[in-house]
Order: sequence, then structure tokens, then C-alpha cells
Amino acid sequence: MKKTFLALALLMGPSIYAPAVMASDFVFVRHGDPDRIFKRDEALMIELPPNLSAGELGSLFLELDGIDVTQRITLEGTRAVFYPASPYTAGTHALRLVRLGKNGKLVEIERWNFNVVGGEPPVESQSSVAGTLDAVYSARLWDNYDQDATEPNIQNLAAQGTIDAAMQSGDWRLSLRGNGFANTDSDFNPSRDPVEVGEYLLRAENAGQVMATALNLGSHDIGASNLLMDQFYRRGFSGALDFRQGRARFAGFSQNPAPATGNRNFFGLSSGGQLATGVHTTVQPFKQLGERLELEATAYRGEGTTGGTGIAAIDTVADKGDGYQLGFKTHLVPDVLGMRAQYARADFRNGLNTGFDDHRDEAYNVVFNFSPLRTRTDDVGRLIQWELQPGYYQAGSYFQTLLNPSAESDRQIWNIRNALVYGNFSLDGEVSYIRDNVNNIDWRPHDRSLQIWAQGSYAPEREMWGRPVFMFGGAFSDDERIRDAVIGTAGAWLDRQMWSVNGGAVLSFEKTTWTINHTYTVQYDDIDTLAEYGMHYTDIGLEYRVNDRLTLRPGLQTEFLREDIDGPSTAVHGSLGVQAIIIPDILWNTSSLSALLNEGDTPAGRTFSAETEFNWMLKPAERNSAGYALAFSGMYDNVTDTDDTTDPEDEDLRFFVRLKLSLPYAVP
Amino acid sequence: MKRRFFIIALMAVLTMISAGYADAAITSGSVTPQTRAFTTARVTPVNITWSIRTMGGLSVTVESNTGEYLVGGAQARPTNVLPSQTKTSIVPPNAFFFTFTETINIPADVIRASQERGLPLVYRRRFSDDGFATNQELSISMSFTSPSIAGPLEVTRMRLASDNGAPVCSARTGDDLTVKAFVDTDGTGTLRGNWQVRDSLESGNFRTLRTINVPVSGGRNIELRSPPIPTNGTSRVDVRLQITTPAPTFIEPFIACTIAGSDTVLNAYHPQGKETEVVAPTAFMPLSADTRIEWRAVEGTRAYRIEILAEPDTRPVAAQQAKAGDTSATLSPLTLAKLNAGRRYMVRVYSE
Repeated sequence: MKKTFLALALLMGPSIYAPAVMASDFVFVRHGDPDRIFKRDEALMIELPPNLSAGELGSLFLELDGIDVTQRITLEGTRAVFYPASPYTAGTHALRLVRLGKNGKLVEIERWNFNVVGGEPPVESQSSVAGTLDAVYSARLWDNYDQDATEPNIQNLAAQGTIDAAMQSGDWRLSLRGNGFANTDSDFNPSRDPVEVGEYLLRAENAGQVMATALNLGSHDIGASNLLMDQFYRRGFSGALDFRQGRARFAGFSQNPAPATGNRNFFGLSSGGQLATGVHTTVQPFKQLGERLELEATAYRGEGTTGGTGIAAIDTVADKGDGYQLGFKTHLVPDVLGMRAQYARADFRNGLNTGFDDHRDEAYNVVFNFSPLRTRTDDVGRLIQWELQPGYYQAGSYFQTLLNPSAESDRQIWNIRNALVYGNFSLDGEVSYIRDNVNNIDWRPHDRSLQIWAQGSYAPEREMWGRPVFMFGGAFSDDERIRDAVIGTAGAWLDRQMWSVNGGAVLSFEKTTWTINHTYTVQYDDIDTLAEYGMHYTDIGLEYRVNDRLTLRPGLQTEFLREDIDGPSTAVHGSLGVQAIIIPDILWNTSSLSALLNEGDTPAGRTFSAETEFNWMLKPAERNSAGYALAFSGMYDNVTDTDDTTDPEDEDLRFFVRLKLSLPYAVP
Repeated sequence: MKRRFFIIALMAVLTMISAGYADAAITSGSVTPQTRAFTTARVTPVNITWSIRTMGGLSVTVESNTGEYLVGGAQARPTNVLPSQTKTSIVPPNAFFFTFTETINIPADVIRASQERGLPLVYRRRFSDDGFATNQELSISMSFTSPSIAGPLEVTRMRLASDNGAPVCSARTGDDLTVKAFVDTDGTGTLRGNWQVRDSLESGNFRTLRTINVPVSGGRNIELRSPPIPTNGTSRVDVRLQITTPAPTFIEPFIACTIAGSDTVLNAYHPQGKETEVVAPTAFMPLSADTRIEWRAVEGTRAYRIEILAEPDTRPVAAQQAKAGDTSATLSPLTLAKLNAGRRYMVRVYSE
């Protein structure tokens, strides 16, 4: 391995081969347990590399949750120690080790997260409630509504609030956080009720010496990320046991598969029979291996829909299903080579009736994580990081799970990902070969897709005009039918390619920041030539800080489309955002303009909108003391839609007066 | 002549009345579309319009008690009841006076049954008059197309979420706020659309922040991130991704975000510790690596925290700690790296 590293280092050039401090040389001391929960006043210790010179030590900085705490670090033997001045708050904290390079640039060497249970600001108190209540009363002064049109109410009261509460007693801690909406016109609320709960979480935690316990009720994700369960942030109940010495974590959950908002399905425990119940566990079986080997398992049984939001559905037939997942993660060579393998099986049955057989399908996934250069910095502070992730994914044609709304079924994917960082240069990319009809269904053809993409960026180290950051990339896909259906016809043959290249830059000046990007996409189709097209897309954004009181943010996106079926067309979107302080802290204005021309597939469609609001601060908000402001605003919309033959042009002009209130509260 | 016309008119009215009080027979019907392509292993929404022609009458009611999926001609699953429709005016004969619209999601198990057995899939409805004297059966043939990789780009599902996955989101005034759209697609093509926001609820309109133009291939599930959402001028903002091409078969959802603090100056930040008097720098002094921050000592303090703020009562853009015995410090490279040249900042010092 060392020879391999040396060869790669020589290939990459002398700057990599030069001796430098490596991230793996610094060890965040967690007293034998990488997942241990820190006490609220516990000192943080970093084991320093033995060969660290005084010069190198002087170039290091330590940041805790965004605060530079370097000045308060003490050296105790081979360790850098930080004693907190006040107790940590509950939750996850980030400790960042940063190095100042010879060229004056700061480079992150390592980042560690650690968890603290108990305590929430203000930490002096055993209990606290904090949050913000905001309300806007609005009255429409003038409008151009037609008499026959359905008008919104002239007066509107909208309010929203957040709450963050915690109570501590010994090792137990009870917390609540959430938000909610109220509106006299319920159509404006997410679930169309006048008063709604948005998301909320009631959580009870116990930080015992042997075991940590957590009980959750409300909107949450138990943290599993695998083939069967991923991004499952849902309402419901879960409980977790964390055995510190046994290096094991068990979680049980009972959550609603549908992403509920508002007051319906409030607890997420049972609504129309929709419920998914299961367990998830991770175990590090061998203490001497520690986190180098971790086993995981997930199982569930439930009924519900994975429809998500956004689909108009009147058929509420739910799917019943169950499944399990097994997997392991291992660090074959620490910091260099890791591997994760998974297997999942899911069963589905009819939600309501009829006599179809149960359906069962499977999914596999193997991913290697190879970092041939480890993570390191060279002697001028350049970060060097190169990760390669070859993998294989297979999911059967009918693989479905209620716990993973983004799961892709009917896929065989061979792929390799690349992530390279070398100082101010980065290059990400992926090559994938994809096949479908995994279950070899006779009525279906076999199609395949070859997909390649890469995106890079480079910020020249030398001082240049505009301190530019250049961005560039491209993508290619080639879709082809490799075998026709055995029975019946599967439609037209498939032979299609798509190319896309993009390039751009971000330029920063004293008062302006420019963002410019251009993409060219072209699609060829040897079977359906009418589907061929070429498209130029340009995106330009500018932030112009005219002075302390005025900021302008104009933007322009243009799209030139050449389709074989419809010929050429050009779409343009121009926008302007304005923030103007007229009297500091008293009177200010926010405005926006947007013009959308030749939108989408309707060449003649266009939308023009403008909004402006003048705010007069009457009293600034303070803790437990409401602030209020008076605002005058106006909006103008002009929409032309030639597809709408009865009302091709719609023009709205409205003026409002508003009273805004804000109450940030905290007890005590 | 007049008498003859009166008799004919009377007979016509009596005929229509008798037709109204009797059953208004259904004469024919049609459905749009007559065929619909669908994909496998996924719930496929289909918009259907049923049109029914009747004999007419004074009061005519048409209803459909159930629809059903047929696989190979055999019932696979009954589905919902359509609300009945009644016309109380005189319905001219043989005119399309009844239009029923619905959106169905073909259940995945019905699709599977059709595919695995190689049998045609049909969605059928039976419409009746209110006396069930006459019926009209209409059906749609569901034609199978190869899913995912083949075919032009289609958006089959979209959901919006905040960074933690929640279907609503919250942020503080001045935060960098973005939301994510998870878009399930079939086929290959360019996804075009607009990220839009609505921050004046009573105006009801979304305005476009930025157009997007994303090449998608192979029927993959993609994740799109919104541009920065304005969090300075409002206490609530709704965000949506309006897809213009390909036209979606569903109404785009929006995600509602609470912004704590109506405006920057209304926002209150609660720093920990007790604020102490800053002796230097004084107003309008430039901040640099040589600038010395000085403050009054506080008895019993364990450390000092220097905060650099862009606006009053907001979260600091940078902060650093100093030892308990110190009463001055210079800005560290970490702090300076977070500041922008040419901007105005405020300095606060707190004892912890």
C-alpha cells in the first residue's frame, strides 16, 4: 500500500509528496467510544502528532460551533485541551481544526462532531421556553378585481410561530420544538385549515452511564439510511436505546408513511390504517475492531402510500408491505478503503381485496470507498483529497418499500464516483451503466443507459481581477434497447443520446458579485427524429452593493431552444431584487420585479410581476416585548396565456396596508 | 294555424314532462382519453373525462356507482363511486349534458397482474339513469409502455422538503434558506421549470425567482435544490417548483416556511452571557488583522466572547473567544476570513 501511495504521490507532483501534517495524525479523544455522549462541561481533547513543530502548531486554529476558541486552548503534554467557559447546549456540536497555509489561506484539516445530552439555552435554568410569534394584519386598500371574480377577503390576518422548550431533571431531559400557522383565509395554509401545526417533536432523553434512551413523538427521522429506509422524516413515535459499552443501538418506530402536515394525522400513529412499524439496529460486534466493523439490520411491517405530496389522488387504496434489510460497514484499511454491503427484501400485498398473490422482490447494494491519498494538506496549506466509490446496485422490478420514498426500483446499476479536491481545484464525476427489466418480464424489453457526468471548479491562487472561481462540466447519456419484449410489442425501438456541457464563473469585486453560467444541451434520437433538440441556457446573476443602504440583485436567464418538431423559440426571465434603507433602522423598502417571456411550451405565454413594500419601524422587538411595524405594499401581475381562450390576459393590481408584529419570547 | 301550433307545443311539453318524470334514458357516452399509456411498478395518475348523452327531460339524474379495473376481462378491483349529477332544467335530447371527471391511480398490484399474466388492462365504468332503467358502459384501454429508460421525459412524482426532510420548514431572518425537490422521472429529456416563491399571502400569486433547465436521462430520481429563498422581508414564505416541461399530471405542491422575525430589525438574537462595554474600536474604525478589540473587565468571568455582527440584534457573522484575564485581543485569521471587505460591522463582547 505504501508503494501504491508513493507512486500516486509522484504522479501527482512534488507538492503532494512533500511532508505535511495529515488529518489522521490528529485524534479527537473520546475515551474509547466514538459515539459517546459528552457531558455538558466536559473538556475537549485533541491528541497532537508527536512530530508537530512549533511553527506548525502556531498555524493551527480550533473552532467550536463557528467560534474561534484557539486563544483558550491549553497544551497538556501531547494534547490540546479546551475547557468550556459555559456548559454546552444539547445536541450535536462541531469541532473544526483549521490550518493557516503559507499563502495565507485557511484550510480545514479535520472536523469532528460530538453529542451532548441535557441543557438548552439558557443553560442556567432547569427549564426554558423560547420562540417567536409573528403576525401580519393586512387590509387591501385598492384592487382591480372584476365584480364577477371571486375575491379574497379584503382583510387578512396571518400568523406563525415557533417554539423551542426544554426541561431538565437529573439525567432526564424533556424537549419540544415545533412551528405552526394561522390564517383567516385557510386556503393559504399548507393543509387548508385556519390553524395548523406544521412540524413538531416531543422528545424525552435519558443520559445514563450505561445506556442512553430517547423517546420521540412527532415529526422525525430515526437516522437510518439504507435500501429499505431512507429520508423517512415522518410523524409518529420512536424509541432508541444506545448501549455505550456494548457499542449497540436499537430503535423501534411506528410512523405514518404519508408526509403529514397540518392537524390531520396529528400523531401519525394511525390514520386510515396507514402505519409503518419496525426496528432498526446497528452493532459494532468486536470491541477491538471498534467502528471498523458495524452490522446493521432493519425490519418493518406496514400499510400506507408512498405517494408523497403533489399527486392529485382520489384512489386511496393503500399497499400493505413488510421487509427487512441486512448490511455491514467495514473499514478494511482505515482512512483508505472502506466497504458497505446491503441486502433488502420487501413483500407487498394488496391493500384492500382481490386475489392476487403476494409479491416479493429484493435489492442489493455494494459500495467501496477508496481514498488512495487519504486526506491531507501540503506544506502551503492545500487540502488534498481523492475519493473513488465503485459500486453495484440492483433492485427488482417490483421492489417497493414504504420507508424509502426515493428508492429506485427495476434497476441494475454499475457505477463509479469520483471526488477530487486539490487545493482550489475540485472535480466530481460519475460513470454509470444502468439496465432495467431486472425481473426479465416477457412483456417488457431490456433497455440500458450509459451515463457520464463531471463537474469541476477552480479558484486561481494568484490574485486576479475579480477573484474568479471558474466552473465547468459536462454530461453524456446514451440510451439503447438491447433486447425486445419476448411477447407482444414494447413500442418504438430506442436509440438516443444526449450531450450537455456547461461553463461559468463567479467574479467578486468590492461592490459587486457576478455569477455567470452557460449550458448547452443537445439530444439526438435515431428512432424518433422529431424528439431531437438543442438548447442554449444562460444564467447571469449580480449582487450590487451600491452603498450601505442600497443593494440590487438583478438576474437574467435566457433559453434558446431549437426543436425539430416546433422550430426555434427563445424564453427569457429577467428579475430584479432591491433592498433599500431609507432611514436606518426606521424606514426601508424591499422590491422585486420578474418578467418571464415565452415560457415553457407556449411560445406566447408571458408573466410580469412586481412587488414593493415600504416598512416603517414603530418599535423594534426585544425579548418578551413585541415589536411592530407599519407597511405599505403593492403588487402587479400581468399574465398572458394563449392556451386560455376565455381569458388570455389576466392583470392584477393591488395595494395593501399592513401591521406587522413580532414577539420573540423566552422564559425564563 | 295558431290553434294547431298550440296543440303541437302542448304535446311537445307533455312529452318532455313525461320524459322527465319517467326515466331519462341514457343514449350514449364517450370517454377521453380512450387509451392511456402507463408505466410499471408505480402508481400512475390518469385524468379521465366521461361524457353522457341522455334522452332529456325536466329533471335528469345520472350516476355511476363504481368503476372497476378489468384484467383479461375479469374484475381485478372495484374502485370509487362518482358523485351523481342531476340536471333540473329541461335537457334537450341527445346532447352531452353530463360530464364527469376523475383522476385514478392505477394500483401497482393491478399493473403487476396485467403484466405477469400478459392480459389487457381496462378501466370501466357503468353509468345509469336514476331509475337504473338504462345503462351505459364506457372503458379505457390501458396500453403498456416500457418505463423508465425509454420514452420522452415524464415527471411522475415530486415532493418538496426542507434540509431535515420535513414537509414544512423554518428559518431565522437573514438565514441562508433553500429547499429541495425530489423529482421522480421516466425517460430522457430536459426538465424545465421555475423556482417560485409567494411571500405576500393575501396577493395569492407566486413569483419566479429563477428558471431551471436540467438535462435528465434514464428515468432517474433526481434531487434539485432551490436558489436562496428571501428571508429578510417576511415572516412566512411559500416555495414551489413549477415544472413547465414536461407538463406534470399533478398540481405542484408548495412548502411553507416560517421565518422567525418579521424583518431584520425585528429579529432578536439572544446571545449567551453578559454584554460588557467595548472600549475599542470606536465607531467607523476599520477592522483588520491589526485592529485591537478592547473591553472592560468583568469580575468572575470565565472567558470572553467577541462577536462581529452585520446587523444589530442578529446572529454574529464571526466570533472568537478570549481568556478570562484578557481585556483585549486582535481578530484571528478565522474571524477575518468570514468578513467581507468594504462592509460595515459591529463589535460586541460578552463575558461567559
